[in-house]
Amino acid sequence: MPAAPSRAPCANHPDRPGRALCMTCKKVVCQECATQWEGINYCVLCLAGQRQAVRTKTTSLGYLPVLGAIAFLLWASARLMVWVNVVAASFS
Amino acid sequence: MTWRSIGLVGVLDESFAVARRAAPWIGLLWLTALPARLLGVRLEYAAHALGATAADHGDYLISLGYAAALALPLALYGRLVFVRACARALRSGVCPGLDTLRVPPAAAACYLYAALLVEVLFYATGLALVTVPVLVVFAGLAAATAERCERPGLIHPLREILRACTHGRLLAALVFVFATALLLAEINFYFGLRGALWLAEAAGPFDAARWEHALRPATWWVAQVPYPEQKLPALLLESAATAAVEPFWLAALVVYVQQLWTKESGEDLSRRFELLRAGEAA
Repeated sequence: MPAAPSRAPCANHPDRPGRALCMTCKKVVCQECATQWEGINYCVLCLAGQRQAVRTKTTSLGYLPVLGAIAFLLWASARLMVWVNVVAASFS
Repeated sequence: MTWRSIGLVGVLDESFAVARRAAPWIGLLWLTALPARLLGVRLEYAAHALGATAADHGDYLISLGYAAALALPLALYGRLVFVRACARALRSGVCPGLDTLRVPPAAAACYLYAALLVEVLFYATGLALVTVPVLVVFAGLAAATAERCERPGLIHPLREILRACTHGRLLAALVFVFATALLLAEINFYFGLRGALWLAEAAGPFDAARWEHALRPATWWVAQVPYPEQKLPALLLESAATAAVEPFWLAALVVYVQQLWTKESGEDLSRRFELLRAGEAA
């Protein structure tokens, strides 16, 4: 029966009905305790852990490979664009 | 967004409403895409005009290619802003404000990388034609999933695109619907131009011969197809039709991706329970 999860109370506020499931620790939480991040429900503690993990990983150096790839792909797309049009023109 | 399973009609219905709500941002999408579109048309027309001697004019064509490639980041930024506007319009139900322009740097970098990779694959395999529908879907999904990229990376944006491809049949149906829409838009634009030409001729002295020549329909076997025979008007017509259909295509992909994420997060079940409780209470 789909109504079953609504009977479980919030893990932090036993007097409140559970409205969401934290997708990390699988605790049932109420509307106030649940936060969506990247489209996924988290409880307060798990959300803080996720955010901290992202902060520690992201540095400005992390952009270097992406920016290098973008520069290369821009160059390659210009060359390929010309190549495709020249080949198509020679067939037409 | 209300609870429902992901389906073609639902996605199309919702995407029309979302595109209407985010309508002011369509102007930005068109404006930012204009330089890349016109330079692309210029390059294609130049190569076509040169024909078999195109390979002898490499420097000229490569300079056009670089100009068109350098216009791409602006076009992609406009696309990303429009997609953000659609996502916000879907969540809030109103037209989003100017803060939509402030795209997070990580999402912008990841999107630029993924979109350019798809662009390169498009040109590398475009002559085969088979890969075109798949790459068109990837290009749209790259924009629709960009907001999930909270840190720069080379793998994460591609993984998000592939994760969003779970409903292959629905995506194929969307491609078919929008390819038909593109064809209909081109035919409508063509007859619209011919109608305008006819009205201009009827209104007074107007040298229509040149325009008649430009818009002369192509002959295919014995039938005259509603499409200009001349290359430049045909390319411009294609660009105009693409610009007309693109906002709805992007809105449809945003709705699809948001519905997918809603299902993944369990939010759809939460909405379903609310509806059931409301039904029981009534």
